[in-house]
Amino acid sequence: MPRILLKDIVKKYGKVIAADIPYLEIKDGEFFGLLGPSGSGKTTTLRIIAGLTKPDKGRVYIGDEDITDVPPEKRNLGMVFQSWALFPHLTVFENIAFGLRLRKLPEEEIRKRVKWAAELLQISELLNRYPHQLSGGQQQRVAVARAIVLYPRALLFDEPLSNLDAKLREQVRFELRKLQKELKITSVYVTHDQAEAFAICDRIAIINKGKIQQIGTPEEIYNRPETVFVAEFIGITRFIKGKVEDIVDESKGIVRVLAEDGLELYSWANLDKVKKGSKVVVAVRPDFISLASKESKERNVFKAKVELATYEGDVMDYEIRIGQWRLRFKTPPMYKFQPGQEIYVKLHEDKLIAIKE
Amino acid sequence: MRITREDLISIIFLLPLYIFIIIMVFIPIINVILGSFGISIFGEQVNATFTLAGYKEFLAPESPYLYSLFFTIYVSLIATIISVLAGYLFAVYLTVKKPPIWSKISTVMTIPLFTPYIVGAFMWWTLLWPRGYLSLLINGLLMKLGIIHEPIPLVNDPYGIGILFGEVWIRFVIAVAIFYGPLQMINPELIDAARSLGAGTWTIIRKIFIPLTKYALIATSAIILLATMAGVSIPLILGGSWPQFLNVMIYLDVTTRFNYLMAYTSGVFYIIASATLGYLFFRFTTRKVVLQTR
Amino acid sequence: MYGERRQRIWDLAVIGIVLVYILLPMVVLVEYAFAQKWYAYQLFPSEWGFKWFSWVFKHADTRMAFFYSYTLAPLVMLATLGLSIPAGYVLGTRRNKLSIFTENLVNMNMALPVIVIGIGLLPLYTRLGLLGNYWALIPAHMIGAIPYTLRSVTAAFMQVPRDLEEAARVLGATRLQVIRKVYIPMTWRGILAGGIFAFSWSLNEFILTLLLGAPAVKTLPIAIYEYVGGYYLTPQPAAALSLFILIPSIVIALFFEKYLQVSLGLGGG
Ligand SMILES: Nc1ncnc2c1ncn2[C@@H]1O[C@H](COP(=O)(O)OP(=O)(O)OP(=O)(O)O)[C@@H](O)[C@H]1O
Ligand SMILES: [Mg+2]
Repeated sequence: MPRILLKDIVKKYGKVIAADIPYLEIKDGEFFGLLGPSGSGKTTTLRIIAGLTKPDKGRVYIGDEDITDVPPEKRNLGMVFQSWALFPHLTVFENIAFGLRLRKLPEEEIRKRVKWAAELLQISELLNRYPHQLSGGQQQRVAVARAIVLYPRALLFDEPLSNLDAKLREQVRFELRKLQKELKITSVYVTHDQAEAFAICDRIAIINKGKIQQIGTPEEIYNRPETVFVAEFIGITRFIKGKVEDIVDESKGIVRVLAEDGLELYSWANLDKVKKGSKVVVAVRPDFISLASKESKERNVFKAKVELATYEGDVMDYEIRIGQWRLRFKTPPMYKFQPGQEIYVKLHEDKLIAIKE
Repeated sequence: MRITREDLISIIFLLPLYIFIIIMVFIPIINVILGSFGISIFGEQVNATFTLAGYKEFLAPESPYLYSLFFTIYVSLIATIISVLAGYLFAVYLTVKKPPIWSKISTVMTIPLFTPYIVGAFMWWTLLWPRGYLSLLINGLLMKLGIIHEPIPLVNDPYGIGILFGEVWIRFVIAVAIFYGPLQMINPELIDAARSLGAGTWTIIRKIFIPLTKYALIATSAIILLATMAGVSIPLILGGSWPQFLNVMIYLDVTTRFNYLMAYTSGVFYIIASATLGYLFFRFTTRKVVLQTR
Repeated sequence: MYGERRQRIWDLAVIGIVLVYILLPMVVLVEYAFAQKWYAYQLFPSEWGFKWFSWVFKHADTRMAFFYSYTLAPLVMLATLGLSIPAGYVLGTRRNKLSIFTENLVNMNMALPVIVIGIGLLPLYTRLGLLGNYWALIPAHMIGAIPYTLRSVTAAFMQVPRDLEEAARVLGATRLQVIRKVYIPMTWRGILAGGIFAFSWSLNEFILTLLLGAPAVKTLPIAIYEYVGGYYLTPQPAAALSLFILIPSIVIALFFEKYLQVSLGLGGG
């Protein structure tokens, strides 16, 4: 299976920049995610790959072939749509066979391939039904079967699970990933659901306003967001603003940050971007914080005041204040601090992320 | 059964409508049907005895009425096929390509809908009569190509060419207006899906659009055919002296030939034709005109 | 981008051809109406002017045609609305068997060719001595207008939420207040649209007027027909006359598009 390459792609609708991608390579056999909020340009990017939208500028390659001017019907890419787009007037069998019939394959070959795809997706019993006689999950499988039956060069998914209920969605995620690994088809998966992208994809690009913010594995993105937007998008809501005073440890990437209110803390930073004197925000997730003893002489141990305590069954969720910074912090339910109480916490310097503003 | 106050209001409010329909529609229709058998409610025009003479004359081998009926159906069918086909393709074009300028000028397309038929017919007459631009152009072209040797009449002609021009102009726009809605209702992702599976534009029209809008196609063809067969103004102005549309025959029968028996008999054939086509139309419009996924 | 621009050129070509096709007959009509001097061997008129307009007005017949057309139309509009508003109220607010039946009945009438109704009416009018009677043309013009008008009015009443009337009554509104505060604001667009349909229909009505009104009462379409239908080989006066119903029709069409967001086919048989 070949790679997909986008170069210098620009697509504008009026003044809206729907896609602006200088370079994006999706590797051979990789399950690649495009993740971003609504209107960020995910669908536009996917449709440019599929050929359904013409970019204003730039080239699209599959393998080494430049397919920018190849019409979508000649690209042989399988696509699964948000609405699944099953043809309502055709049976499941005919839906899956649609592309095969257009290629004028012999009847026997068509039967064989439809059977293969139907078995792979466990929809063999549904072949004589019409789309409106299927559940959402079944329709989704038919849509995938219809895409893979053509042995496409790559598979493109546009939020294929957003019309399913939450429980089914989680189950289908793993099946999709399994299927993709089995077939080893280069795949691009568009979603605005972070958990979904993390569960399915090998690598993810986070998009905002048509521009790629960061590309990386789910772990890299989760642990080392490179921009405030990415940090916020993956659920970090608390930040400490300040300035880098010092680079403390070159090899580990630890810097000393002086917060705006004079608080001094140590944090990890990407030293390619953050320099001495850089203005930064330090992203703090609840799990970057742990309890510490009053006597501790370690770095990054602070006195904090409990402002709010919420019992959530398996955890206690606290809102605490260090200096002027309000942070969130979780403990097992056996600790029960009261609002107003003073506690000591440690912010783990190797987990904190100082992001250049 | 007791009549409630509500029912009473319904009845009182609907009564004028019913009285109107009975006097202005039912009685005339009954009059036409009975009149075709020679029975007259209002005396005067036909003898008051039952006769099948009208039908015998209508269906006789050399009957001009039968010929007119076939001519009417033939010309109307061609006009319907042209306008439905062209209208459908144009509506598909608008649906697939979504040309941005369309929204600015779509109002112009509604003008023929509001143009009185008589004016529409006359406008085409000015284009098609021997001194009309279209007539000069087409005849000039055909003579240059050596297909004809002297100009042929394009209006008031024996082939119904003039009628075709006039009818298609109005019906084309109606077809576009009717098809546009159902086509817009088709999930656009279906088109994208078909393309990604390898279908070109023609395949998409053949395998997606037509099956999904077939009821709209049938219903629209039915009303356009009906309207074309029934309209008098256009054949009256653009038709020739012979053969004529059946409704022109009816008109001449009552105004110049005073042959009411034949007018009524022809009227019955019109009632039958419109009942059939009307049934087709209402049957397929009450049915879901477009099968549609979410 | 190259592909985009080529698409736009295609769009222009396709839509341009359709536009020319739609508009060409009208342009030529206007040309005829304003052609003062036009010899048979010329492609275009050699002199332009208003000669045919004044020519048209010199004839008492045509002057009367104006009068008949433009007085009948509002009368037909009022009469059609008078019939359609109560009926539309019932059909729109009570969706029972009677309503459905009534709607189907009215729709069925729409499918009947006007000429057949016309020849059926002819002996009735003759019997009642109504041939050539100006007032008797009003119900004749209403036949074709009622289905459209009724549909528009019914749709307007359907939009009024069912419980709104009850809610208003509970709040102490009198019947008159309910009509003023609930029904009129919510239905006037549909009623206006229906009324204008009837107006426009009457203006365009041809065959029934020809059968039942002419020669005593000639409306504009009849006058046009007499200029062309009789193989009258100077079509200029007919063109001038046509503009007097074509232009109002177009104005009405634009009005519908812009302010009422409805469009429906109309024509006078
Ligand atoms: N055909 C179009 N015409 C005009 N603007 C468009 C068109 N398609 C997309 N856009 C605009 O381009 C931007 C990106 O749209 P896109 O559909 O790619 O977003 P998305 O990331 O897929 O969002 P969602 O999660 O809501 O599907 C949006 O601002 C959108 O309004
Ligand atoms: Mg999208």
